[in-house]
Amino acid sequence: MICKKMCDYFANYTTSFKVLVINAILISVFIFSTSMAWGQSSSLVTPGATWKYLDDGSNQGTLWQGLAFDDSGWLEGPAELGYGDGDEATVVSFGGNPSNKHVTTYFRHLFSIPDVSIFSNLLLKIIRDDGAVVYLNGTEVFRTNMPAGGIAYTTLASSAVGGVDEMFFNETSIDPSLLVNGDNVIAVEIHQFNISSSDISFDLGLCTDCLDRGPYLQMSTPTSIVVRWRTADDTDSRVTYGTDLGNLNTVSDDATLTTEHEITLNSLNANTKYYYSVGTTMGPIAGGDNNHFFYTSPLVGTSKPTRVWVIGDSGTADVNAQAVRDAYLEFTETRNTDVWLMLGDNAYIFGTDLEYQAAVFDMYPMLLRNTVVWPTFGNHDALSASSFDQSGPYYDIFTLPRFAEAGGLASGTEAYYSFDYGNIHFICLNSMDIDRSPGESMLIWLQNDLNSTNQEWIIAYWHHPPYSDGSHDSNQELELIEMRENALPILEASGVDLVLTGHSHTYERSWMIDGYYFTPTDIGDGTIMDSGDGRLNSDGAYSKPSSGQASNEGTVYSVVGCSGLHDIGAGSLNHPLMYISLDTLGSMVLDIDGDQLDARFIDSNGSVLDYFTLVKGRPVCDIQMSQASYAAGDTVTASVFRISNPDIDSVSVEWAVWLKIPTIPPISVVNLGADGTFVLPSGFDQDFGPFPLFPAAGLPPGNYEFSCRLLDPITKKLLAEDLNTFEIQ
Amino acid sequence: MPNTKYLIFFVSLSFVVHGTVIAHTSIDKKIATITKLIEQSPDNAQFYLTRGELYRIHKEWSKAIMDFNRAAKLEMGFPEVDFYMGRVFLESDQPKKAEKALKNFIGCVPDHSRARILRARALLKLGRGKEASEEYTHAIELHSKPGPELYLERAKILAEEGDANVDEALEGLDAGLQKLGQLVSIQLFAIDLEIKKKRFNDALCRLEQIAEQSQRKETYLVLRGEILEKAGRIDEGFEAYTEALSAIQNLPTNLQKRQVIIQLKARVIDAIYRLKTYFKLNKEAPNDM
Repeated sequence: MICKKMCDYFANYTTSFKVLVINAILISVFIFSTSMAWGQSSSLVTPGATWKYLDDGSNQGTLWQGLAFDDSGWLEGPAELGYGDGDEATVVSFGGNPSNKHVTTYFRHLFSIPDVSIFSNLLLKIIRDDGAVVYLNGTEVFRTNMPAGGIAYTTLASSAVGGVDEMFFNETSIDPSLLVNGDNVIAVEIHQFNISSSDISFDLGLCTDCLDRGPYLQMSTPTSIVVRWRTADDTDSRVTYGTDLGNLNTVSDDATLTTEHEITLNSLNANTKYYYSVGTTMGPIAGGDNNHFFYTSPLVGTSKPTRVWVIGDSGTADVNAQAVRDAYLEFTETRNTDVWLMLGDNAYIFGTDLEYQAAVFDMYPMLLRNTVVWPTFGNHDALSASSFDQSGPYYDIFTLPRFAEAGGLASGTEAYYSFDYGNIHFICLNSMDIDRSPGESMLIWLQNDLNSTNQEWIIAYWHHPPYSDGSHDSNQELELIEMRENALPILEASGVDLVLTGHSHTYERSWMIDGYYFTPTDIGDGTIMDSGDGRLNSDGAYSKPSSGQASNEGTVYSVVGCSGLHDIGAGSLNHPLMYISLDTLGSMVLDIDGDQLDARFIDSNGSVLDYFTLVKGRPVCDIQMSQASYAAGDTVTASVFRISNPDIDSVSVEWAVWLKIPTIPPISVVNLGADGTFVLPSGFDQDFGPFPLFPAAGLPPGNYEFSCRLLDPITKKLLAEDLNTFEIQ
Repeated sequence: MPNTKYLIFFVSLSFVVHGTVIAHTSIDKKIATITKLIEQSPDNAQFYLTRGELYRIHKEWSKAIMDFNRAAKLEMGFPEVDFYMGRVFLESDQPKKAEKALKNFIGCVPDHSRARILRARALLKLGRGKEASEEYTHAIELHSKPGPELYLERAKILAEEGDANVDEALEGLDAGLQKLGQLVSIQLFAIDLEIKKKRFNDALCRLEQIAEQSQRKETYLVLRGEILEKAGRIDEGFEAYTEALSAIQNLPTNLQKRQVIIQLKARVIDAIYRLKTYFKLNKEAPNDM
């Protein structure tokens, strides 16, 4: 409805949209699909289409505007057409003299319609820099940024167009009665504001019953999902869906005429793939193909390999956000994204609806139609919206839980919420404009929400980082301080595993820590539970002794505020609790499977610049050698083997000791138990040894590796490993 | 329609900025860009409003106020300026001026809920709690999706106005529960108010309503014990504490190790010990002992 009001008021000028057309190996983005069958709502001219053009600066009079004109001598190329910006798909000529550029460049596009009677509306969208006049079958239908009256090939545009205005589409409704059965032509003349202007730009779309936004998915549960989309005109709403693409036999309708469509699909099966289409009772507008599908969530409490994509401060709507997105898509390939988190500042500058269109809907259309996005509220989102009354674009655009629709405890507000996915409990807090004080509603809800969940994993996210020394200092700013002082004690006491935040336009990742609540943060105030790098192939995974929730066993904190916005040289990136701090664009990927969480930070070039693993409730093994170096005559001896099971349940393990000799693959040396397997009872913690192993004499000199491993006896999955090295002289 | 005009005005501010500002500049750069626009068009009220807003976000109160004043002079009868002025006065801790400006704005745009909330906060700072609560009531009525915070803020204001207003506070909270369901944050505050009025049965009834929706009961059993104890119903309180301890001991081991559960258990054990002592001193112990 906001869009409708805007359209009514601004009519022909200031309602505008930005569309990015991207040709890539893995993805392509189209607002309008030309693959729709006639008789359904569809696109007649797609942005990015191929146009005939004449760029010789000549006077073409008026005949060029009509269908009968012979443009076979014109050049041809795909939109966006123009010069000077560096983003053109086709670069046209300005005549060679930069001080005396052609004022007018001409464009034509033919398209065919078998039956015009089905069209009751037409929407034209145009990117123009600087001015444009548009003709449909020889009749002027739209002029923008051009003076009134007669237009000659020397007529200059009314004003210079630049900045964001040359990236947004201007739209207008035009009379569909100008269409004819068979061939039609749309002709456009682009005019410069002055003859030394640096650039021109042109792209155009023409559609009927147009899809302005989406479809996009919200609030999935094991048995339901919300499908949303926006149209240019008021229509009723229909979603058609099913598990068989060739037979979408279930329909959900809403007869209300609206431009903002929202349909909840219920009675779905858990962890199931559904295909869908959206449209009206007259027919679909989009979907019904391989590109429009969703998966429902798995049953709460079930363990399922889960991929989570995390982006923060991504709302720049520019090549940076695009690069971060593309790097992730290349990384994930055909592996579906199960959960998608946005850490706030989702649309710069002010979080307006138009900015959301550019930064979210035009940036991630493929992901939005297949994966539910779960956002949080940032300070820039707050410039157009308010959590106190849940008003503004952020709250209009997203459908978020208020009454525990997706798990957790009812908060009564979309400003903060929780949801379950498999065996993971996600908690989204509002660090921006909700009272962060103890004893106030959000933190009361948080404590009770944590009390009510039994999930294996708890992941919390919000915008303002409790620890950061990037473009924001967590010792200086109130929101950051209050979240650290007030929310972290509650979260850590309830066993939160991972906290994700944005706001600082950097990547920062802590050790596994606990208890750092004071201001300023001092290394002595809490506990670094594990000062290693958390990497399986290095210092080893961060290991929390208990499976499920357990108080204060350690949390990893990550700032991922660099998925679009990147402040070069921001902060000293030297926070005392951070294992790594990077001044680079990127996003985070989490892969959670059973008792293991693997995290990776992927930069905008696709490089994995950081990774760590968190495991819970795993047994531990530890081995020490009696000497670092053995001479002939010594006996290589393992002085201590230690095995422990800190979890509440007993666990069966296979215990293996491996020796790696230079140039030879590792060999198993010792197995214990009748079949190499034995049961570690809960709380088991014992040292064994010393074990003399073999004489050093006779072994080739070099560096050796000696590892103790615990494996799952059935799956052979590595549960724990400790690696030692020694030298044979 | 004033609200539509306000919406369109605010959106048009964005367009003005979008026409000239690159998405990822800092506030300082945005201010510099708007200043250049003002130099080119010194009589454009909207530019002053935009810059004033940026100054406000940047906490440069006096500059924000100057720009809003300038906008008001350039475009007389522009009620939105009062909203901006009211907000910046409130944020710069000038509640008297904030209240006056917002009152003016509300006079022109009576269905602006955010203005009413801001005026309520200004009234609160001026010690006019009853009027503040009335503004909250208006704000709540104007909203299709009021959050729990609105109901809680109103109730807290009323409760602080004195015992005579507690019932009105509870009525407001009940309206919130009616609208939003059994929210823990609202109901716990209502329970506190009922206890304050010594209406222990009502407090217990409320507790039961939120306990019903939770699979885990240990916290609510402890609260029940505490309410009963305050009510002088010692036997029943003892029974509730005993049930709470049993519920805690039946939790999975990993949950029992959670700090909040450890603290809850300590609270329960203290209470049981306290009541046992009471029984020894005052009467025969119940059979559970």
